[in-house]
Amino acid sequence: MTTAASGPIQTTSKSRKSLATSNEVYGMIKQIYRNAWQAKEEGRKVAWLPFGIPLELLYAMDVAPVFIEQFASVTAAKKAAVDLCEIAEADGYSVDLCSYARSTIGYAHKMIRGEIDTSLAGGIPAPDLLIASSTICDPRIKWFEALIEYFDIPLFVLDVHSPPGLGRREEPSQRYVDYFVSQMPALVEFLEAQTGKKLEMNRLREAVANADRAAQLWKEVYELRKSVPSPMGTEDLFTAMVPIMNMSGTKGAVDFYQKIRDEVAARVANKQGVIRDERYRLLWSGLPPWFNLGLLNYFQDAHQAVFAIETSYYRGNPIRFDPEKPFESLAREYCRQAGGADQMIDLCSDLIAEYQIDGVVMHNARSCKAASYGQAYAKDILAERLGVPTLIIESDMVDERNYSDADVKWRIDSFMETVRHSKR
Amino acid sequence: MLQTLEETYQRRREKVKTHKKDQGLAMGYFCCNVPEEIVHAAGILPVRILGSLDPITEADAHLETIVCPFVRSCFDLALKGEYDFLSGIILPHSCDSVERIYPIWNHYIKPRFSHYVNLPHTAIPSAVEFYLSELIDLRQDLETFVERPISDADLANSIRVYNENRSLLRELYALRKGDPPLLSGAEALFAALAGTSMSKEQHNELLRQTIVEVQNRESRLQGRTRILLCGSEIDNVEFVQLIEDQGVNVVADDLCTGSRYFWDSVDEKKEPLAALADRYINKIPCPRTYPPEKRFEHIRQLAADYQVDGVILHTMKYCDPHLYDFPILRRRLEEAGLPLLQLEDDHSGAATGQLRTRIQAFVEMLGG
Repeated sequence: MTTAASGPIQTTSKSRKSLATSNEVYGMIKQIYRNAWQAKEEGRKVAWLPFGIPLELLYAMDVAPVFIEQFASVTAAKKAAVDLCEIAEADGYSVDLCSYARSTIGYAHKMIRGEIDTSLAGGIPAPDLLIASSTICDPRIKWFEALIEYFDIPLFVLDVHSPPGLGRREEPSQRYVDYFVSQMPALVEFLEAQTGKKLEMNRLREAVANADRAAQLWKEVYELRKSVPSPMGTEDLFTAMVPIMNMSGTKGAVDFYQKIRDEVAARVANKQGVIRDERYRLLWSGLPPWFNLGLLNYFQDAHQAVFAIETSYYRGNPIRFDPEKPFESLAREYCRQAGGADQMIDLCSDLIAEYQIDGVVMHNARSCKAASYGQAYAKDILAERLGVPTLIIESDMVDERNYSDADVKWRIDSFMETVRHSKR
Repeated sequence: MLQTLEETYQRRREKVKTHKKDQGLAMGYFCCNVPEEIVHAAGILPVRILGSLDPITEADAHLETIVCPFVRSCFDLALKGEYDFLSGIILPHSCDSVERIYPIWNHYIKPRFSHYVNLPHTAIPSAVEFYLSELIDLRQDLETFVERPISDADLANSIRVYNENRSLLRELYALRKGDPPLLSGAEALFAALAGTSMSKEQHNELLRQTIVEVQNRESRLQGRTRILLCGSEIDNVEFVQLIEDQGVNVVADDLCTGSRYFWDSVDEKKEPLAALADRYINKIPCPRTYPPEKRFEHIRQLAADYQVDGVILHTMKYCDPHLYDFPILRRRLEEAGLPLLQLEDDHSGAATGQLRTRIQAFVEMLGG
């Protein structure tokens, strides 16, 4: 809907957010990476890790953690991801592999040749340690096996499992917790050997206490978001979740969630919605298209539809972390993260009721089996069970080559027709 | 006997239906990570779920593009009723594609019995302990299903039968060490695959006779370029035939449906369930298990023992574990002086022309 005179059509864009606090997040990411560069200067260790490694432990031991799934999203937002993926592909990594892995493998390839792109939130320094987790998907270990081919450094693998069919309000059974906890001494030993420092348990307890505070504040935000009009949309969630995913265990994360909670509470009190005229409330499922988060605003601008809630990165019913049982607490949280399609469907069903949802949009991020495999099945069940219309958008979380703007927008428009119709 | 094995492989689902009519329950399983011995000890026939070259007509409506085409094919067969004879399924947490079909299979196929076995990604001691707790769970679930206990004596007996099967398959495979090998790659594969849809007792008998038969026949093969075939589940023997038709002998394999299935035996001196946990965790791993060195060592050893000239890596399209391994495996083999050809398989049986060309070029390069 641009005129001929305005030049090339911008098919991807950053998102427009509602919360002032969201604007602080990019700065926080840059600070995390600055801390990592500083750690290197000071002779402290930098660890690259995926989701599923207890950050709290690393913070307690002054290891600078770099959560590289987040970094991959930065490369996508900065339009650097496709080039990086192509570099990984030239090294033999199939184009069908996880684009988080491909973009960071590409970054590693360039880095060992002395090329660091500081436009990517300042860039991340080379790791001294790699710590992989097996939770949720196969690539999390394989990707790190690939990375040690670029860096001659130690790799520690943490094997994390979730019981199949675990309900969203259930806790993993004791033997799952035991298995996770049984690996902690080896991880601690590994970190102690690498850092030359002993773990001080009171520091871990403090980190776990911080994790609990942040998780509880974040939970309050989930409750507040049930309000109509929606005070905070999914486009804000994709930014606001950054401290939980990157900084859990720190006071900085607690302070941030305090701010977010206060801002959302104020918006609820003032009945301040994401858009003035909220007609439709949608649920988002799956990974974000990090290179085009503006897509979520398209629903607002063209259809007065707001993403009131999402299943992605859901932390609406966290466990209580007990600082007196730090490893067990971490186990109980990490061992419930990997859910299959049935858990996703149950969560969707609950959220549809709790947040008064009119329609579901699932993003089939092509290179992510974990987040996308099961969506066709879920769509089927949601239609059967609840009669809720579901749209599946196909692209990728980082690899922009899989995104077709005209196609996606057309499908969104058709879907919103269905939503309008079913709401009448 | 070889012919009987081939027939069983070709008409495998039919064969199991016949068994069921005569003898009872059949339990489907995926991969080579499910301790079949426990199923066998429960008096149930374990049947490995395999795909076919039939065009996919039903599964596409339910599965995303990047789901493994082998799993897609298996599911498609199930949707068409081809696996209705199964009393149930046991599904391991092997890879993402297999793991995530579990709720979908349950919903659309509605097996009477359905069990998910979690599988550690490492072989540390507490992993064996965790896996043992999974096996205790599986045993209890099966006991409830068959309404009788599975004793340690039953398990010990099943382990003996399965160990004999493994030993016989290793013996059969060893007949390919010579030049020319006494058995082709295609023959070896269907001999191994046939055993996954018949009782191991029956398979053992056939293998014993086949080994004698093969030892006493004149080799139909010429001495020519020797290939090691690495990969995942090749359930389509024609793929191996196609490779051999280009003028090579596939003398060894590192496949999920081949050597990785039977290379390691269970320790009969240990308490049975613990012995099973130990064996299945510590066996030659597929790339979904860390660390990869054990499998790379297995490949190197096979290449040496079978005097291999080159390696062909079969990767299933979208297969994360094998595709991440590929650049690393290529480098390791280069260091060992072994050229590697990667062939991607979409499990459709199509694109054979392209495959032929690539294999021929590889063979030429090897000097064959």
